Amino acid sequence: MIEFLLVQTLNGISFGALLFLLASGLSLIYGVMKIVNIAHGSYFMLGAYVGLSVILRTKSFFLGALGGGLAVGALGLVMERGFLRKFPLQPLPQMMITLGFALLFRDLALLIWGGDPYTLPCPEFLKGSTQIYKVVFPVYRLFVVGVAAAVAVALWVFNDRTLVGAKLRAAVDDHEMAGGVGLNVPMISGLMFGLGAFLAAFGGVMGGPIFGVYPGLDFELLSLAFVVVIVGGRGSLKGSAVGSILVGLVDNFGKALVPELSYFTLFAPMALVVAIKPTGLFGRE
Amino acid sequence: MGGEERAISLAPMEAIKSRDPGPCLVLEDLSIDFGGLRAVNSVNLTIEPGERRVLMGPNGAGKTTLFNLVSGVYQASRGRILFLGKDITKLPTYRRAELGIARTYQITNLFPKLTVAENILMACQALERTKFVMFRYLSSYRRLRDRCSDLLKEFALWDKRDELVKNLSHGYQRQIEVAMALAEKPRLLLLDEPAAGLSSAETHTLTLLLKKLDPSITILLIEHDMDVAFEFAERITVLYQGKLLTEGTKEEIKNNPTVQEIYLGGE
Amino acid sequence: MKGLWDSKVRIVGLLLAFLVLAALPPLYSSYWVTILTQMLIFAILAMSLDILLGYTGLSSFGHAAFFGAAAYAVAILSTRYKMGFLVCFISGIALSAGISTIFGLLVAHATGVYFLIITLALGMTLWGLAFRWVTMTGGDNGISGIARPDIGLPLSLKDPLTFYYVILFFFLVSLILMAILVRSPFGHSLKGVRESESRMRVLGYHTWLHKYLSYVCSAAFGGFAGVLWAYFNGFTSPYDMDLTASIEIILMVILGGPGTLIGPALGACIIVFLKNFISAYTQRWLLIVGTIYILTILYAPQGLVNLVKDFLKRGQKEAEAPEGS
Repeated sequence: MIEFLLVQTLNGISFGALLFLLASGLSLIYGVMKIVNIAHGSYFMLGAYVGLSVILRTKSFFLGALGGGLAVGALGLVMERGFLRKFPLQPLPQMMITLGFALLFRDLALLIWGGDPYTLPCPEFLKGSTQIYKVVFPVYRLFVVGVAAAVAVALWVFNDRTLVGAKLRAAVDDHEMAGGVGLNVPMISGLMFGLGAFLAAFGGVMGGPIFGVYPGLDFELLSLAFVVVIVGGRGSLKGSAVGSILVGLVDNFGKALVPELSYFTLFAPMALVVAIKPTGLFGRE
Repeated sequence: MGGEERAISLAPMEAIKSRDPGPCLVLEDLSIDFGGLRAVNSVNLTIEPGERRVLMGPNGAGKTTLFNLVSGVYQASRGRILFLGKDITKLPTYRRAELGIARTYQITNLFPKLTVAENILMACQALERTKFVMFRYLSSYRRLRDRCSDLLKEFALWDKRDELVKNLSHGYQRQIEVAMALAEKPRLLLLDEPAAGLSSAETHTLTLLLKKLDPSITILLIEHDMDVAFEFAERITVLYQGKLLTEGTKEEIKNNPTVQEIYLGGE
Repeated sequence: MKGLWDSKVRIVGLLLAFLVLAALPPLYSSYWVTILTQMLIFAILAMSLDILLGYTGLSSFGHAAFFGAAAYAVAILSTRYKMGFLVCFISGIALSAGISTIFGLLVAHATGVYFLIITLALGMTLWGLAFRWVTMTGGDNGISGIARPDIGLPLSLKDPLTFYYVILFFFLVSLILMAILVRSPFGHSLKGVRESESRMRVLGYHTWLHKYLSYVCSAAFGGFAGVLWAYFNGFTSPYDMDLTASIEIILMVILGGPGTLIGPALGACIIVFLKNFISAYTQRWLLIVGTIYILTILYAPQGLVNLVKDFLKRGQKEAEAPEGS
C-alpha cells in the first residue's frame, strides 16, 4: 500500500515536473504579452518530434533536447515577430492567430512524422530503476523532477534577482514607460515568447521517454497546462510550480484509482479553486 | 426560459416618502487604500435631498475615486456610505443603481458600437424586470420605446437616434451620458465633469440642461470649469489630496484663501 | 429608407435561400442533400455559439462539449435503451443545459482571456469523460448504430431527402427562436455586456446573471444541434467534442461574422462544404483550416457578413452623395 502511494506520488510529481516546464512557459508568455498561447501545447509536441528526429540521427539525448528546444524556440520567435506583432496590445486577435498556428502545427506534424505514436529513447545512463526504502523508482523520472526543479530555480533567480528580470517586469507593467526609458520592448516580447517556446519544447523532449509523442498530445497537454494556470494562478511562477504538482498528482492518482474518470477528476480541484479563490492559489489581479 | 422572480424597486421615492426625509447621502469616515496610497482619506460628507452640491479640487484630489466609491466600482477600505438612510457600503454596483444612484463618467463611457437609441434603451430597461425576457422582441415594448423616444427628443438626439455613438461629436456624447443617467429616474445623480472637452457653446447648453433638472433629484457634480461650478452650485465641497479641505456656500469658497492657493499653486 | 442591406439584398437573399433550401432539394443528388443536411446542423451549432461569442462577447473554447454531450445522450439512450425520439431529444438538450448550469457557476464571473481558459479546460474535461469512460461511451471507438428515429411521419427518415426536410424544419425553428432571443430585451442586455460590462453594472444590470443565462441558452441550443447530429451521423465519437471541434465552431462564427446569427450560419455552411470537398482530395484539412483562420484574423476579422454589410453601406453612401460631401 505504502509502495503504491509512493510510486504513484513520484509518478504524479514527475508528470507535474513536465507540466511545470509547459505551464511556466505559458505563464511567462501571458505575463509579458497578456495573451494565452494556444499553440503552446503544440510547442511541447513539436519539441518532442524534433527531438526524436535528432536523437535518432545523433544518438544523443542531450542534443535531442537542445535541438528540439532551439528549433521550436526559433519557431516561437518567428511566430511572434512575424504575426503577433501585427496586433500589438490586442490580446484577442493574437490568441486567435496562435489558434490558427496550433492547427497548422498539428497537421505539419502529421505530415512529417505520421500518425503513429512514438516513444523517445531514454538516455543510456538514465535507464533502469533505483531502490529507495524497498520502493522501486525509475531513474529517469527522478531525473525529470531534478531537471524541472533546476529550471524552476533558474527562472526564479532570473525573474527576481537579475537585472534582466527587472527589465522584464518593467516591460510587463508598463509598455510605454519601459519604452520610454530605453528598453527594447518588442525585442523583449519576442525573446520571452521564444524562451517560453523553448521551455515547452524542452519539456516535450524530456517527457518523450515517459509519454511518447502522438498527434493529440498538443491539445491534451494544453488543457492540462490551462488547469495548472487556473489552479495555480496566472503570471505566477510559484503558482505554476504548485499548480503543476497538484495537477500531476490528481491526474496520476485519478488514472490509477478511477481510470475511466481520469481527466474528469481534474474538474474537482478546478471547481474548488474557482469557487474559493477565483484568481488561483497564487494569482494576483 | 427567462423571467426573474426578484421584484425590482422602480420608485424608491415611494418607500422613502413615509419615512422621515433624512439626508440623501452620508459618507462617514470614508477611506480607500490602493497599496500604500490612501486615495480618499476619512471623508465625511452629508448631502440633503434635492441639493445641488459641487465637488471641487485639483487633479488627484480623489474626486473621481469618491464617485467610484459611492457608485460601487471601488470597495471602501474603511468607513460607511449611507444612501437614503440605508447602509450601502457593501452593496454591489448594480444594487446601488436599483436603489436610485446614477452616474456619468469623466471619460465618456457609452456603448460606442451601438446606436444612440440602443444606448438609451439599454438605460431605460436597466431597472425593469423585462430585461430578462427572452422570447419577445424588444421593439414590442411600447412603454420602453416611448420612454426612449421621450428622452431622445428631450435631449435633442432624435435625429441622431440611428447613428453609432462612436461617430458622434464629443458634445453629443456628453449629452447621451446625461440622458442615460436620467433614464432610470435616479434619486442621486453623480455627474463627473460633464462639461469636459466641450466648447463654450456646448457648455452653455449643458448648463441650461442641468439647471432644468427635476429639483427633487439630488445632484453631486464634479466640475473643473469654475464658471459652470459656481453657476450651478448651492454648496461646494473642496477635496485636496484625498481629504476634505473645506465646505461652504459659493461665496465662502470663492473667498477662501486656502482654496485659491491650491488652485493657483496646484494643477 | 434603412438602406440597401435591409431591402433589396434581404429579399434576394431570402428568395435564394428559399430556392436552395426548400424548393430545389428534390432535384439534388443524395450526396448534396446529405451535405446540405450537415450544413444546417452545424449552422444551428454555430448560431448557438454566436449567442455567447458574438452577442455577449465571451470566447468559449469548450462549446463542442455541449454538442457532443447531447449527441452521446442520444447515442446511449437510443442504442442501449431503445428510447424513442422524444425521450432522446429532451434528454440530449437537458443534459447539455444541465451541465452548463453547473459549469456556468464557474465561468460566469470570468471574462476575456480567463473565460477562454476556463471554458477550454472544462470542455476538455468533458472530452476526457467521453474518451476514457469506456464502459459508458465506448471510448475512442465511440458509439455507432444510431438509427433514424420514427417520429410518426408516413415516410421513413432513412431516406436522405425526408430526413433533410425534417432537419430543415428544426433549423427554421431554432433560427426563429434564436433570432427572437437576440432581439429581445435580454438579447439587448447581452450586447451591452459585450460592449462594456462595467457600464452595465453601473446602469443596474446584474451582469453575472446575464452572462450565466447566456451561457446556458447557448449550451441548450448547442445540445439541440448535437441531438440532430447523432441521428444524422448514426455515430458519435469523442472527436465530435474535442478542442479541435470547438475551434472549428469558433472559426465558423468568426468567418461568418460574429453577432449576426446569419453570418455564423453561413460560416458553418462554408466550413462544412470545404471540409467535405477538401477531404476528398487531401488529408491536409487542419492545415487549410488553420490557414483560413489566420487569413481571416489578418484581413477580415469582422467576418464575411459584416464585410459585405460595410461594403454595401459604403456603396449606398457614395450613391447618396455623388458630388463631394
